[in-house]
Amino acid sequence: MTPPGDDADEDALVRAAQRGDGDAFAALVRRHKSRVFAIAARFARGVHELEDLAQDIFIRVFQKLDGFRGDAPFEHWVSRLAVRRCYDHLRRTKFTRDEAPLEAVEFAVRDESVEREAEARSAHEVVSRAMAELPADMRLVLTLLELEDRSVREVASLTGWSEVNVKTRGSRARARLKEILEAQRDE
Amino acid sequence: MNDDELDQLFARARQVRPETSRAEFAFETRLMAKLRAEQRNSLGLWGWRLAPWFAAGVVTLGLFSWGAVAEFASPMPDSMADWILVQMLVVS
Repeated sequence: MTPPGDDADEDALVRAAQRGDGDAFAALVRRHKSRVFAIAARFARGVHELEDLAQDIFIRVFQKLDGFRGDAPFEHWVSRLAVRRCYDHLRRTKFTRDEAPLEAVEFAVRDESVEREAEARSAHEVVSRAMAELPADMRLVLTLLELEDRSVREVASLTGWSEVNVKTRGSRARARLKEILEAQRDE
Repeated sequence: MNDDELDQLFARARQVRPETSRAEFAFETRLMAKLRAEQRNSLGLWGWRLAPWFAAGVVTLGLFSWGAVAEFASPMPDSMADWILVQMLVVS
Protein backbone atom coordinates (compact mmCIF):
# COMPACT_ATOMS: atom_id res chain seq x y z
CA MET A 1 0.00 0.00 0.00
CA THR A 2 1.43 3.41 -0.96
CA PRO A 3 1.56 6.08 1.72
CA PRO A 4 -1.12 8.77 1.40
CA GLY A 5 0.22 11.96 -0.21
CA ASP A 6 -0.32 15.58 0.79
CA ASP A 7 -3.57 15.74 -1.17
CA ALA A 8 -5.06 12.73 0.63
CA ASP A 9 -8.07 13.43 2.79
CA GLU A 10 -7.38 14.28 6.39
CA ASP A 11 -9.05 11.23 7.92
CA ALA A 12 -6.92 8.91 5.78
CA LEU A 13 -3.76 10.77 6.80
CA VAL A 14 -4.70 10.64 10.48
CA ARG A 15 -5.50 6.91 10.31
CA ALA A 16 -2.23 6.20 8.51
CA ALA A 17 -0.28 8.29 11.04
CA GLN A 18 -1.99 6.42 13.88
CA ARG A 19 -0.72 3.18 12.30
CA GLY A 20 2.80 4.61 12.50
CA ASP A 21 3.18 5.94 8.95
CA GLY A 22 5.82 8.68 9.23
CA ASP A 23 5.08 10.12 5.77
CA ALA A 24 1.43 10.59 6.71
CA PHE A 25 2.41 12.35 9.92
CA ALA A 26 4.82 14.62 8.00
CA ALA A 27 1.96 15.47 5.60
CA LEU A 28 -0.25 16.38 8.57
CA VAL A 29 2.52 18.57 9.96
CA ARG A 30 2.89 20.32 6.58
CA ARG A 31 -0.84 20.96 6.56
CA HIS A 32 -1.13 22.37 10.07
CA LYS A 33 2.24 23.98 10.76
CA SER A 34 1.10 27.52 9.78
CA ARG A 35 -1.71 27.40 12.32
CA VAL A 36 0.60 26.09 15.05
CA PHE A 37 3.34 28.63 14.26
CA ALA A 38 0.80 31.48 14.31
CA ILE A 39 -0.30 30.46 17.81
CA ALA A 40 3.20 29.75 19.13
CA ALA A 41 4.65 33.00 17.75
CA ARG A 42 2.43 34.95 20.13
CA PHE A 43 4.19 33.37 23.11
CA ALA A 44 7.77 32.71 21.97
CA ARG A 45 10.55 35.17 22.72
CA GLY A 46 12.55 34.48 19.59
CA VAL A 47 12.84 32.31 16.50
CA HIS A 48 14.71 29.57 18.36
CA GLU A 49 12.12 29.43 21.10
CA LEU A 50 9.42 29.46 18.42
CA GLU A 51 11.01 26.46 16.68
CA ASP A 52 11.35 24.60 20.00
CA LEU A 53 7.78 25.38 20.98
CA ALA A 54 6.40 24.30 17.59
CA GLN A 55 8.44 21.07 17.78
CA ASP A 56 7.19 20.40 21.30
CA ILE A 57 3.61 20.88 20.14
CA PHE A 58 3.94 18.48 17.21
CA ILE A 59 5.78 15.90 19.33
CA ARG A 60 2.83 16.09 21.73
CA VAL A 61 0.48 15.67 18.76
CA PHE A 62 2.46 12.60 17.70
CA GLN A 63 2.41 11.11 21.21
CA LYS A 64 -1.31 11.70 21.67
CA LEU A 65 -2.36 10.75 18.15
CA ASP A 66 -3.76 7.39 19.23
CA GLY A 67 -6.16 9.25 21.53
CA PHE A 68 -7.67 11.27 18.65
CA ARG A 69 -11.11 9.79 18.01
CA GLY A 70 -12.33 12.29 15.42
CA ASP A 71 -15.02 13.81 17.65
CA ALA A 72 -13.79 17.28 16.63
CA PRO A 73 -11.96 18.30 13.43
CA PHE A 74 -8.26 17.41 13.53
CA GLU A 75 -7.20 21.06 13.08
CA HIS A 76 -9.19 22.03 16.16
CA TRP A 77 -7.65 19.19 18.15
CA VAL A 78 -4.16 20.35 17.09
CA SER A 79 -4.97 23.98 17.98
CA ARG A 80 -6.17 22.90 21.40
CA LEU A 81 -2.94 21.01 22.06
CA ALA A 82 -0.96 24.01 20.79
CA VAL A 83 -2.75 26.47 23.06
CA ARG A 84 -2.36 24.22 26.11
CA ARG A 85 1.33 23.68 25.36
CA CYS A 86 1.81 27.45 24.97
CA TYR A 87 0.08 27.97 28.32
CA ASP A 88 2.50 25.50 29.95
CA HIS A 89 5.34 27.40 28.30
CA LEU A 90 4.04 30.73 29.66
CA ARG A 91 3.72 29.29 33.16
CA ARG A 92 7.27 27.93 33.07
CA THR A 93 8.87 31.03 31.55
CA LYS A 94 9.40 34.23 33.46
CA PHE A 95 8.94 37.07 31.00
CA THR A 96 10.22 40.56 31.58
CA ARG A 97 9.21 43.70 29.81
CA ASP A 98 12.38 43.61 27.70
CA GLU A 99 11.67 40.07 26.56
CA ALA A 100 8.36 40.77 24.87
CA PRO A 101 8.13 38.43 21.88
CA LEU A 102 8.09 41.05 19.16
CA GLU A 103 11.82 41.65 18.75
CA ALA A 104 12.94 38.34 17.39
CA VAL A 105 9.79 36.99 15.75
CA GLU A 106 8.83 38.78 12.58
CA PHE A 107 5.43 40.42 12.44
CA ALA A 108 3.63 41.62 9.33
CA VAL A 109 1.08 44.42 9.20
CA ARG A 110 -2.15 43.95 7.25
CA ASP A 111 -2.61 47.64 6.53
CA GLU A 112 -0.26 48.83 3.82
CA SER A 113 -0.18 52.58 4.41
CA VAL A 114 3.08 53.64 6.03
CA GLU A 115 1.45 55.76 8.70
CA ARG A 116 -1.09 53.10 9.70
CA GLU A 117 1.62 50.46 9.70
CA ALA A 118 3.75 52.54 12.09
CA GLU A 119 0.73 53.06 14.34
CA ALA A 120 -0.07 49.37 14.35
CA ARG A 121 3.50 48.38 15.12
CA SER A 122 3.72 50.93 17.90
CA ALA A 123 0.42 49.72 19.42
CA HIS A 124 1.58 46.12 19.14
CA GLU A 125 4.82 46.95 20.89
CA VAL A 126 3.05 48.78 23.71
CA VAL A 127 0.58 45.92 24.20
CA SER A 128 3.27 43.23 24.03
CA ARG A 129 5.50 44.95 26.59
CA ALA A 130 2.60 45.47 28.97
CA MET A 131 1.33 41.92 28.52
CA ALA A 132 4.78 40.53 29.31
CA GLU A 133 4.13 41.66 32.90
CA LEU A 134 0.88 39.71 33.22
CA PRO A 135 0.56 36.25 34.76
CA ALA A 136 0.31 33.35 32.30
CA ASP A 137 -3.46 32.85 32.41
CA MET A 138 -4.20 36.54 31.87
CA ARG A 139 -1.72 36.72 29.06
CA LEU A 140 -3.17 33.69 27.36
CA VAL A 141 -6.76 34.86 27.60
CA LEU A 142 -5.98 38.39 26.36
CA THR A 143 -3.88 37.09 23.48
CA LEU A 144 -6.66 34.80 22.32
CA LEU A 145 -9.56 37.20 22.93
CA GLU A 146 -8.04 40.52 21.94
CA LEU A 147 -5.08 39.89 19.64
CA GLU A 148 -6.36 36.75 17.92
CA ASP A 149 -9.91 38.13 18.04
CA ARG A 150 -11.45 34.79 19.03
CA SER A 151 -14.87 34.44 20.64
CA VAL A 152 -15.34 33.50 24.30
CA ARG A 153 -16.70 30.11 23.21
CA GLU A 154 -13.63 29.44 21.03
CA VAL A 155 -11.27 30.41 23.84
CA ALA A 156 -13.17 28.18 26.26
CA SER A 157 -12.90 25.28 23.85
CA LEU A 158 -9.18 25.86 23.21
CA THR A 159 -8.19 26.29 26.84
CA GLY A 160 -10.58 23.82 28.44
CA TRP A 161 -11.88 26.58 30.75
CA SER A 162 -15.60 27.30 31.10
CA GLU A 163 -17.03 30.32 29.24
CA VAL A 164 -17.74 32.06 32.56
CA ASN A 165 -14.14 31.44 33.59
CA VAL A 166 -12.85 32.89 30.31
CA LYS A 167 -15.01 36.02 30.74
CA THR A 168 -13.89 36.47 34.35
CA ARG A 169 -10.21 35.98 33.55
CA GLY A 170 -10.60 38.25 30.51
CA SER A 171 -12.08 41.16 32.46
CA ARG A 172 -9.52 40.78 35.28
CA ALA A 173 -6.74 40.71 32.70
CA ARG A 174 -8.04 43.87 31.00
CA ALA A 175 -8.21 45.66 34.35
CA ARG A 176 -4.65 44.59 35.22
CA LEU A 177 -3.38 45.57 31.77
CA LYS A 178 -4.91 49.03 32.11
CA GLU A 179 -3.06 49.48 35.40
CA ILE A 180 0.21 48.41 33.80
CA LEU A 181 -0.29 50.69 30.81
CA GLU A 182 -1.10 53.64 33.06
CA ALA A 183 1.98 52.95 35.15
CA GLN A 184 4.11 52.76 32.00
CA ARG A 185 2.61 56.00 30.72
CA ASP A 186 3.55 57.73 33.99
CA GLU A 187 7.16 56.47 33.89
CA MET B 1 -7.09 54.63 30.54
CA ASN B 2 -10.70 53.75 29.79
CA ASP B 3 -12.16 50.69 28.01
CA ASP B 4 -12.55 52.51 24.68
CA GLU B 5 -8.88 53.52 24.64
CA LEU B 6 -7.86 49.96 25.43
CA ASP B 7 -10.15 48.60 22.69
CA GLN B 8 -8.59 51.02 20.19
CA LEU B 9 -5.11 49.98 21.26
CA PHE B 10 -6.02 46.31 20.76
CA ALA B 11 -7.66 47.07 17.40
CA ARG B 12 -4.45 48.69 16.16
CA ALA B 13 -2.28 45.92 17.63
CA ARG B 14 -4.47 43.29 15.92
CA GLN B 15 -3.33 44.60 12.54
CA VAL B 16 0.09 43.12 13.29
CA ARG B 17 0.26 39.40 12.59
CA PRO B 18 3.16 37.00 13.23
CA GLU B 19 5.11 36.35 10.02
CA THR B 20 6.47 32.85 10.40
CA SER B 21 6.92 31.58 6.85
CA ARG B 22 10.74 31.64 7.12
CA ALA B 23 10.66 29.77 10.45
CA GLU B 24 8.28 27.21 8.92
CA PHE B 25 10.64 26.37 6.05
CA ALA B 26 11.48 22.62 6.07
CA PHE B 27 10.08 22.39 9.58
CA GLU B 28 8.61 18.92 9.01
CA THR B 29 12.03 17.58 7.97
CA ARG B 30 13.63 18.84 11.19
CA LEU B 31 10.70 17.58 13.26
CA MET B 32 10.78 14.08 11.77
CA ALA B 33 14.55 13.90 12.38
CA LYS B 34 13.98 14.88 16.01
CA LEU B 35 11.17 12.35 16.40
CA ARG B 36 13.36 9.57 15.01
CA ALA B 37 16.20 10.60 17.35
CA GLU B 38 13.82 10.63 20.32
CA GLN B 39 12.52 7.18 19.43
CA ARG B 40 16.09 5.85 19.20
CA ASN B 41 16.96 7.46 22.53
CA SER B 42 13.87 6.05 24.19
CA LEU B 43 14.74 2.54 22.93
CA GLY B 44 18.27 2.93 24.31
CA LEU B 45 16.86 4.27 27.56
CA TRP B 46 14.54 1.27 27.88
CA GLY B 47 17.53 -0.98 27.26
CA TRP B 48 19.38 0.63 30.18
CA ARG B 49 16.28 0.53 32.38
CA LEU B 50 15.79 -3.16 31.72
CA ALA B 51 19.46 -4.08 32.19
CA PRO B 52 19.28 -4.65 36.00
CA TRP B 53 16.17 -6.83 35.56
CA PHE B 54 17.93 -8.79 32.85
CA ALA B 55 21.00 -9.23 35.08
CA ALA B 56 18.80 -10.32 38.00
CA GLY B 57 17.05 -12.83 35.69
CA VAL B 58 20.39 -14.25 34.55
CA VAL B 59 21.58 -14.61 38.16
CA THR B 60 18.31 -16.27 39.23
CA LEU B 61 18.44 -18.66 36.30
CA GLY B 62 22.08 -19.47 37.10
CA LEU B 63 21.27 -20.18 40.75
CA PHE B 64 18.28 -22.30 39.77
CA SER B 65 20.25 -24.40 37.29
CA TRP B 66 23.14 -24.75 39.73
CA GLY B 67 20.66 -25.97 42.39
CA ALA B 68 19.04 -28.39 39.98
CA VAL B 69 22.39 -29.81 38.85
CA ALA B 70 23.57 -30.10 42.45
CA GLU B 71 20.38 -31.95 43.42
CA PHE B 72 20.70 -34.27 40.43
CA ALA B 73 24.34 -35.03 41.22
CA SER B 74 23.82 -35.56 44.96
CA PRO B 75 23.16 -39.04 46.39
CA MET B 76 19.61 -39.99 47.24
CA PRO B 77 18.03 -38.27 50.23
CA ASP B 78 19.06 -39.58 53.64
CA SER B 79 15.55 -40.79 54.49
CA MET B 80 15.45 -42.95 51.36
CA ALA B 81 18.92 -44.32 52.08
CA ASP B 82 17.82 -45.23 55.62
CA TRP B 83 14.72 -46.93 54.30
CA ILE B 84 16.73 -49.01 51.81
CA LEU B 85 19.21 -49.97 54.55
CA VAL B 86 16.36 -51.11 56.80
CA GLN B 87 14.83 -53.15 53.96
CA MET B 88 18.18 -54.82 53.24
CA LEU B 89 18.61 -55.70 56.93
CA VAL B 90 15.08 -57.13 57.05
CA VAL B 91 15.65 -59.19 53.92
CA SER B 92 18.97 -60.50 55.18
